[in-house]
Order: sequence, then structure tokens, then C-alpha cells
Amino acid sequence: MDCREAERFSDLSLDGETEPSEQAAFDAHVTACGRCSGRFHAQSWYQNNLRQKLQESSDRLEPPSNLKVRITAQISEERSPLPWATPALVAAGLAAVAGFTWSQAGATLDPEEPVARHTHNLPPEVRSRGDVMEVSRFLSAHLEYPVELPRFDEERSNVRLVGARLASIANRDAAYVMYDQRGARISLFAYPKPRRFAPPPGFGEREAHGRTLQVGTHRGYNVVTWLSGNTVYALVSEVDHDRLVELAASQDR
Amino acid sequence: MFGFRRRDDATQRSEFEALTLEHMDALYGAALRLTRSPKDAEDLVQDTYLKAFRFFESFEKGTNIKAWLFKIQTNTFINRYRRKVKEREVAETPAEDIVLDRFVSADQVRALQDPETDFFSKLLSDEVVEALDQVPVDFRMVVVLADIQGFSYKEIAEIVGCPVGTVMSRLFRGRRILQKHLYDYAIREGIISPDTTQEGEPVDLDAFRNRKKAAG
Repeated sequence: MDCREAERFSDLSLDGETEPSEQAAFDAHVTACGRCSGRFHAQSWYQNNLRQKLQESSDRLEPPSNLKVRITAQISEERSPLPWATPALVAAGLAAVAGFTWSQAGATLDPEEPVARHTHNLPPEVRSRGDVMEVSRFLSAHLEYPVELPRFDEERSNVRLVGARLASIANRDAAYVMYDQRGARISLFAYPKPRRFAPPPGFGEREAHGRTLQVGTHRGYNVVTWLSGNTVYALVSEVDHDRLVELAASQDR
Repeated sequence: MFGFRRRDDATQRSEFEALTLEHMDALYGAALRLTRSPKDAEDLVQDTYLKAFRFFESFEKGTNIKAWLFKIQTNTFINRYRRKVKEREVAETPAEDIVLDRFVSADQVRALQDPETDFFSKLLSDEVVEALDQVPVDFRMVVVLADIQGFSYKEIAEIVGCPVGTVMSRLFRGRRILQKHLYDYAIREGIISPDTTQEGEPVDLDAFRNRKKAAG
């Protein structure tokens, strides 16, 4: 380890984040080098004092007294996670759970929102270079919940991933993923399932490859939605229902 | 059935509150440093709790709830910030492109350390906070998580959603930028005299680790 490397490792050493071999190399260098020894001790003094000052300033801070009241009031208006939305039940049979959930009276998916986003045709914030991982990384970095992108069989369904951006659906951040199918735009929206949820009125149910899909039309655009785990997916496009159903059914399970 | 559901709701809510509300002060303090606005900090904390409650079922019981809450808050802040504030463009500038006017040299740090200078006794907490608020947000975020909240590099990487190497790099630079602001403050206030000693840029940690790896 030379002097410049020792300087860079001084923070790791002070934070207790070095590997044992790195710490040994660092200690050996600092013991042998008077200049680095002085520098490290000065840095150690500075860092300890600074941390103390920062923590003092943090300790003096108090949130407004009504913040806790506002938070607990807000939470009390929310419904708790539903008992059937547990990993065990999801594993036991998504289709059955989805069917049960659909039948509950509750908030209806408004197809206007995804259709409006599709018609606005905003550019992607991240473009795919043939790699779904890049789009996944963008979404996981910007969404507060995990969204698993469906992996469509691109060869069979002839779709190409174009990119993604963030959108707002049902007052929540949603993933908006863009595909191209032989020149036609297809938009996929994914967002967390609301506590109470029902498919749009007038939508019909279709089974495809063991998946329960809700199929309908809004403002002339074809819409296919389905539930997977705690995520709602919605495909919107000008392409016909059969092609959208085929696409939804082509994804890996 | 409905009675059972209501009792279940109440249990879930009270479990959530028991686990999370004790971290509200820490979340608010960090939110204030990130947003630099009491009103925005309140909104951010409130949003964080609402999102945390909505996704409480995804929290793995027994794991670090504070880190989980900070991850939600950090993501919420990044999303909101990314959309609403232009400063993000500056924050996303690669660290190498930020004009730093060099870091503070070891001699300059030692000048602060001089017992006659008594720098930290003269420095008020508010002045440290003011200096911290001038650090670009991506660097400030990791300094807050490491030096105020005491998270490990690995936890910070998980919270911020970046590799540990990026955390180390941002923390190193964030701390040196803060050090530079404090040093400039000490000169402005006449606590120490200006010194023109400068040192070279720090080296890349990965380069050292790769060299050691290659050497076996």
C-alpha cells in the first residue's frame, strides 16, 4: 500500500469497513510512514469530532408535534394488507386467489388512466438495448416496490422491448413499459394491487395458459389486465385482443 | 367475518406503529437534510409511513426495520426529487466532473486540529448543518446515512440502491466536500489562516484491490 492508497483507505479503517488483509496492509503502512500516520490521526480526530457535531445537530431536531398524529390518522384510514395476499396463498394458486379478489366489491380499475398514458405516447426515460435487465434496474431504482417485468416470448409474439418510464396509476407510481409489435405500440402498466380491487365493468374474463385475464375495450383501445401476486398488470394497444391475450399468455410463469 | 377483519386490521396497524414510530425522529432528521425544507421533510416522512404501511406485508419480520424505512424514504425522495427539482441534474453529474477546487490537505486538517484553533468548540451545530446542506444531494445522502444514522456501507448500498463501491466513493467525496466547506468557513471566520498547500487527487480503491488480487 502506498501513501495515496493509504489515504483512500483511511475512511474505511475509521468506519471499520476494511477487510482484515486490507487493515493489516493499512496498519503496516501507517506505522512505517510518518506522513501518513500524522495524516490519519488528523483525519481520525476530524472525523470523530465532525460526527459528534452532526449527531448533536440531529439530536436537537424534533419533528413537529402533530406529525405523529397526522401519520397515525393517515394509517388508520388505510386498510391493512388483506389476509389472502400472503406468499403462501400466492404460491398455493395465483389464479384462484385472483379470481377471489376480482369478485370482491371494491375499487374498480379505471381503464382511462392506462389508456390516457398510452395515447400521450411520452418518450421512454430508459431505452432498452435488447436487455430487459437495464429496464428492470431503472424501475427498481425508481419505484418503492418491486415490479417483476413479464418476460414475453419475443420470438413467438414478435414483440420488441422499447423502454420504460414512470407513470401514475390509481394515485401510485407505476411502471410503464413500452413494446413494439411489428410497428404497433403496446404499453404495459404494472402497479401494486389496491387493497380493494375489481376489474373494469364490462370487461370479460378469458383463460389463457392457466392465467386469468380480464379483456375489454376503452375509447377504442384494447385493454388486457391480470393480477400476479400483489401486482396489477395492464396491456393497452391498438392491436386486437387476441394478439394481446397471446402476448400476456406468452410470458414465463 | 367482518368483526374478525376489523380486529385483524387493528392488530396489523398496532404492530406497524409499534415497530416503526420510534424511527420517526431519525427519518424526519434525514428528510430535513435531504430536502432542506421543513415542509417538504414533513411531507416526505408522511409519504414514507403511508408507503411503508401499504407494503408492510413485504417487510421481512426480524430484519432491520430502520433500514427498510430509510430505503422507502430514500426512494420516495429520489422519485419526487427527480421529477420536481432541477438540482438533480447537478447531483447526477459524475463526481469527477464536480469542480471541487481540490480537497483539504492534511496540513489544513492539522491546522484545524491545533489546540489553539479549537475549531470544533467554535463551530456551532447549525454551521455544520449549513455546510452539509451545500454538499450535492447524492453525496449528502450517504454522509447522512453513514455519519448521522450510523448505517454500514452494505446497508447504505441497499438503502440507496447502488453498489458498495459507489457508496465508498460517494462517502469519501461527500466527506471531503464537506471538509472543504468547513475549512473555507474557518478561514472566512478568521479561525485559521489560509494555506496554499495542496495534495494530489485520491486514488481509486478498486485499482488497489484489483492489483492485490492479480498479485495473488
